[in-house]
Amino acid sequence: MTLLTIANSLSELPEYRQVLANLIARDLKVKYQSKALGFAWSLLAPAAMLAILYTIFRQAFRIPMPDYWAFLIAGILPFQYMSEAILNGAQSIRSSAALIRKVYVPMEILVISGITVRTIEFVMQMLLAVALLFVLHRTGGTFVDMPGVLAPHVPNAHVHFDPLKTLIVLPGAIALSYMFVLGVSLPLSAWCVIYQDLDHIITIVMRVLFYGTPVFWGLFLFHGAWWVQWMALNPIADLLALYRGPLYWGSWPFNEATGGGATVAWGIATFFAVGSLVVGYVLFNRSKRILAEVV
Amino acid sequence: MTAPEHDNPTLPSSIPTPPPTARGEPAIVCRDVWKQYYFYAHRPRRLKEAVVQFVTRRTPPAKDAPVWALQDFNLSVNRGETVGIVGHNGAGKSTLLKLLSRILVPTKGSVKINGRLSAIIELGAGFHADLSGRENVFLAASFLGLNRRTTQGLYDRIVEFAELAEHMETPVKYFSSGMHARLGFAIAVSVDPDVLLIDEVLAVGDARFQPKCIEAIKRFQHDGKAILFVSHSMEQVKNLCQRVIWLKNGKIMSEGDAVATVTEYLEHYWPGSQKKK
Repeated sequence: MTLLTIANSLSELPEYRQVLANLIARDLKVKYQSKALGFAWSLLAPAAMLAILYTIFRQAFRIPMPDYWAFLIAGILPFQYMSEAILNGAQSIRSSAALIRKVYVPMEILVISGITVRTIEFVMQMLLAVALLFVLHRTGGTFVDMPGVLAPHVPNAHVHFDPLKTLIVLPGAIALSYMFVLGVSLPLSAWCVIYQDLDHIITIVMRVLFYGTPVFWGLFLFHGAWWVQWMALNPIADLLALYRGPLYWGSWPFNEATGGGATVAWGIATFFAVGSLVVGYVLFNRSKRILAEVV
Repeated sequence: MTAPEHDNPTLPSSIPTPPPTARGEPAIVCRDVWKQYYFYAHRPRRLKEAVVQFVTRRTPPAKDAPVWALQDFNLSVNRGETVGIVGHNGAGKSTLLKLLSRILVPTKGSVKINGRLSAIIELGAGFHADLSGRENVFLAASFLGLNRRTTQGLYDRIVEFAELAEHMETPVKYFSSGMHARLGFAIAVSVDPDVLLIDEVLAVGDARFQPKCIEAIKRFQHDGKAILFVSHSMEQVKNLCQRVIWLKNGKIMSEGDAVATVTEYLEHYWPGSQKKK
């Protein structure tokens, strides 16, 4: 496996634009034409999760955060997107077994299509979430009545939704999440063909990550704990920070784990997104030769 | 922009022209191709097993000796030539077509196709059951390298050839297997490939559709396309091919004139069957 094979694989992808477009259209059609409620279905799961987490942590445990529901929206939607897109992508080659045994398609196309379908759904969800935050026009809660809670990058610890910053940050945040998800999915999709129980393990890892990543809790709640800085090594946490800045804090993104500002937040997220894509594509190319015969 | 008339290779099929054989480099070239399937029987297919094997450092013995599906295979097919592949099940015929269509990668050696390839490994491969016939035409055509606009231009011809005009809005899961196959064949022959690979697909279709398929293949021959034809129907092979390759256990047993090689093949398995004639 050389750099040349990778360059060759990459160079043939543009020829398959039409295939990619058709596969995405196919999946969207099949997914939504059979359901009367269509897109609304995809909102059901995150809405239910939001309701549950809000009830438990806000009402029962009295988590000390103003507008906790907005904090949840900014965390759950991107997290669910990343974890589901990784699972979709990982299963994409195996679920197209009938196709790739009979027709030549670069396997990357299948992974890209599987992830893109979920990304389109996510973009629509985010637009809806932004509209919701805008309409409800949060008065903006403050942390003032919660001593000991620190939000160093937020002036006066006053949280609010910033529509302008959101619209500027969101495209970049989604693009980096997409790259990260694609990079992780590519090798997983190949290994899922070889190891048939791998997707169960991915599901379990994602569930653990849901609790281990600041999705429904904030790192600032543990300010000063020795492990907080290590959270910077969790790429999903770094990507979530991008969304949370403008959507919840009303600020440019900042990286709570390292205490860095916008530059650090974007830098770390970009590092993980580009890194996973490069490493993922190299690993993928190492095993893709045999996929059509073992799938 | 007007193309010079003498330089136009796609003449209307009604004008009788001799097939332009051996023009330029061959359309299909296989050089020393070996194919061994990644032998999975003794490899762990579950992470659980892989972990156990790794921890115990014990690898179960290989159950069988590795099988070469294709050995030291050389082939060159020129434009305008139709080559038949005969042999029993497991001889390597389908492996060969899958190597040529890039679905599989050769273990050793190289495969080269010059021009656009259309492989009919299975009719209607790539169809999605829930989509309509119309949507599937566009999907399947894109696998053959056609964009939306080109497919739109060919659409009426495909529907007419498949004789499915009144069923194109029906999901293909409600198609009969004959309708499915007709649509698949119509798409595969409508894309104007330079190289056509056909794997045992003419068995489908009723008595009225089969002659149309043969007709389509003859038109390709006439237009100087390279065709590789796998079939168990010796009559069809003798009828359509100039040259025949007989494969057995991944090796070429014999190669040459169609009638002679088919006779040799039949004589090998059914001694005396050919002498009576």
